[in-house]
Amino acid sequence: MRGLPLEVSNLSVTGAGGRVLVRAESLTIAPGESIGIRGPSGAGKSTLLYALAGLQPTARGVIRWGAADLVALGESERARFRRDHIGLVFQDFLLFEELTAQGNAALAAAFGARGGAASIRSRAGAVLERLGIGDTARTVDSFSGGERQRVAIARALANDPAIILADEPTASLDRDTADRMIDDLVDLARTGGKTLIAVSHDRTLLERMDRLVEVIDGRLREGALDA
Amino acid sequence: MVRRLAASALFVLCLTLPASAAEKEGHDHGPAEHVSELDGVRIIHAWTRATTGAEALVFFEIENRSGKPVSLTGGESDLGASVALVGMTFKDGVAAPVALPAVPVKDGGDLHLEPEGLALRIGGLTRPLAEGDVIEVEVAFDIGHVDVDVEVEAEDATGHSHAGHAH
Amino acid sequence: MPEILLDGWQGLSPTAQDILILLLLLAPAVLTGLVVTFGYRPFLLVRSLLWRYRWTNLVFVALIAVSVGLGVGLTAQERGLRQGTARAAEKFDLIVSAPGSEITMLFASVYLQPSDVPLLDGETYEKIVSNENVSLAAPIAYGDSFEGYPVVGTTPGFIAHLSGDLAEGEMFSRTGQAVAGSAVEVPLGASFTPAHGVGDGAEHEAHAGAETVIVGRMAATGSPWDKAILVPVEAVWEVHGLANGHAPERAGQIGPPFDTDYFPGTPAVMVHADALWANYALKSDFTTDKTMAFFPGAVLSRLHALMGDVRQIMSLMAVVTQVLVTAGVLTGLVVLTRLFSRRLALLRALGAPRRFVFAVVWCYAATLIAGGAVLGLGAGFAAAGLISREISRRTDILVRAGLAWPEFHLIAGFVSLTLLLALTPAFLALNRPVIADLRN
Repeated sequence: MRGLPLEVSNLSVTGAGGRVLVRAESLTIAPGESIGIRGPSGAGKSTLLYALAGLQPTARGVIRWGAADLVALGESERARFRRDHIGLVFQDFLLFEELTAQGNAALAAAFGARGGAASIRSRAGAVLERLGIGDTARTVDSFSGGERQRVAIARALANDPAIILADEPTASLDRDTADRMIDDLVDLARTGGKTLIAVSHDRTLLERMDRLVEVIDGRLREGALDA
Repeated sequence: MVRRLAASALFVLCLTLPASAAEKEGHDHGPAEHVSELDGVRIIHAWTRATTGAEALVFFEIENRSGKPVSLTGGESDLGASVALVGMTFKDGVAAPVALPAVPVKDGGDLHLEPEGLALRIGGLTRPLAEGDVIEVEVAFDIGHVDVDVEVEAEDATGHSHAGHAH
Repeated sequence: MPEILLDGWQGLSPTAQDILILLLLLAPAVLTGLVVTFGYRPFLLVRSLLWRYRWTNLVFVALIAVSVGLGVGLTAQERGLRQGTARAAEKFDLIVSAPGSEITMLFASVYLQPSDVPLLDGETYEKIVSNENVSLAAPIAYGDSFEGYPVVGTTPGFIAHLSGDLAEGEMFSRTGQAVAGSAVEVPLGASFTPAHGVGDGAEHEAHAGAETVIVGRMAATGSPWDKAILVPVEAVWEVHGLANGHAPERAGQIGPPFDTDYFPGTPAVMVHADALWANYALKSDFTTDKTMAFFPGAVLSRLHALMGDVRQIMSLMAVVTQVLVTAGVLTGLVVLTRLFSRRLALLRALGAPRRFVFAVVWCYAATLIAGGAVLGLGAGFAAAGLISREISRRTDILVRAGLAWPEFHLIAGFVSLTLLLALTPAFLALNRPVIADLRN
């Protein structure tokens, strides 16, 4: 599925005691664009990312992906939007250790997303193959970090999402593995025409993005990589 | 046997006493007839248990003084769809009533219908039976039928409240 | 409408009724399962969670199994005991004795736990034998023993009634011969001298000279009679220095008919009628000033009814135990769902519907509960078997405790109830914050 345009306006996410964690007057992302979100630890990068995934119940304002305003949607519609349109990648992979690579990548087949279980399974298999995971019937508890993250990427792409959201995808990997993972992720997003938004400290990753957004103290500003 | 006859005689006597006297003895059971007779076959102490279920077992004693053997065959009642003669059996310690065709009572003999033994089973009761009620059951012998007033005792009664003490 | 239902119900065979009850009891569990999992395939994930926390899960399953096994074992055992004592009494249609305690007579005549009781005289015995409805009347004369085995005087007819054809050897044909019960550890051909009395108080020298040879052995009856030595009732009378039941010209006779004038008395007479109705007529006939008649089966059922209260308390305790253990297990599940809250949060972040996550947690709990229940069924069965064997060994009453419908119903009810209760941890798991759980 090709990317969706994102329009964020007057977004605020509050935490415990009503403290504002993130505030964004306006953020627009074109379909298929890749965005790097950077900033100091605790500044609200991940909070912003999860808000864009519709996972922040305290988000106010407008988060409009195409025609769908996640803030206005109810919880079950937001979940449906995620399973139909969003792929998520996490820092520490979050795999089911007891499941096989294929089982993890095709996790969404268990609860059914757009296109049905069969297409999820075949797409998961195809991405795993493309990423060089040959033994897809092996349980992932014996996998290396790099292999795990590739399985996680396959899981994120199995539902053919319009949007890929990645939270520090390279932070748990060594440099070489991280580099390869960045290639894979960016490549897959580009060839699929998907919108990619990645929260990262990783300079290599950020350099590959079309555009950067910096979050400092919960405030957004367009940023560039400084020297 | 002598004691039994004496008890029965006293029992009948007791019925003929004024109601107030009977009340004093704690024997106020309404207008129930305690003894029914058909050609020398007497039915005494007819009772059953209070129930809200579909079945009731009726117990009584038969004394055959008719000069010939008779056969108890069953009965009828307006209160239930059927009245049948049953005998309680105990298979593996579980009580199970078995339908019996007829039970003879020889001349001069007695037959006791009592819990864990013989009973008339009223099936398909049309109304619950409450303690203190008196219901009418027609008891069938080969020589004819006789109407019997049956006293409804407590749900867990094991005998007629008159049985076991002299009147 | 309800009457039509009631009639239909009563028209069913007991087995059909039991199956229907079982299905009805299981229905809540099955329906809940269908509703919860409809349209989803949570089983792969459930399996993965089960494997991930397998040791913890095993402890939970074992706890449930023990509590279920306890309940099942108790009820099965209790029923086995009831049936065993009832079967041991089955051959004793009607007992006639001197008036007294039916229970004392039941224990003495059927279970051979003798007590001193008055005797029935020859005249009374004659009345019993001559009753037209009686097809077998046999004196049961107990009171002697040999090395702990009761020695009981009776007739060949009674032995045939009790156990059918002999397992080996032949029937006694004169005094000085005996037929041993199947569990009497005295070989055929061995001889013994009965002692007067039973147990520690038995007088071993009282019957000196009354040497008796074992000539036959009864088939097993599953009752205390398997440990009895049966002799002609004439022999019991003779060793006590009494007339032997027959006129002098027929002094060598064994078994009926007896002569009223030479009949010393018997504590009990077992009466058998061929027709069922005749038993009731006989009971009426022999309920007199001089005799008491009772159906051992009925007295036993009254005893069982008394014990029924104990049974109910036992069942209640078993159910309470099960509920407590289950409550503990469910509490444990709530804790356990925290252990895998991160995985559940992941599912929700990936867009899994709430009901799917709910289904995963519920199926997980359901597997533990169902597994525990099935294991408990096996444990209860095994426990009941072990206890039965011990009771049989100690009482000589064959107790066979097998699982039957009440146990299956108990377990079905337990499973349904706890599966409904398991909805709670599933709901609680849904109310956890996704982001916080994802990041922990």
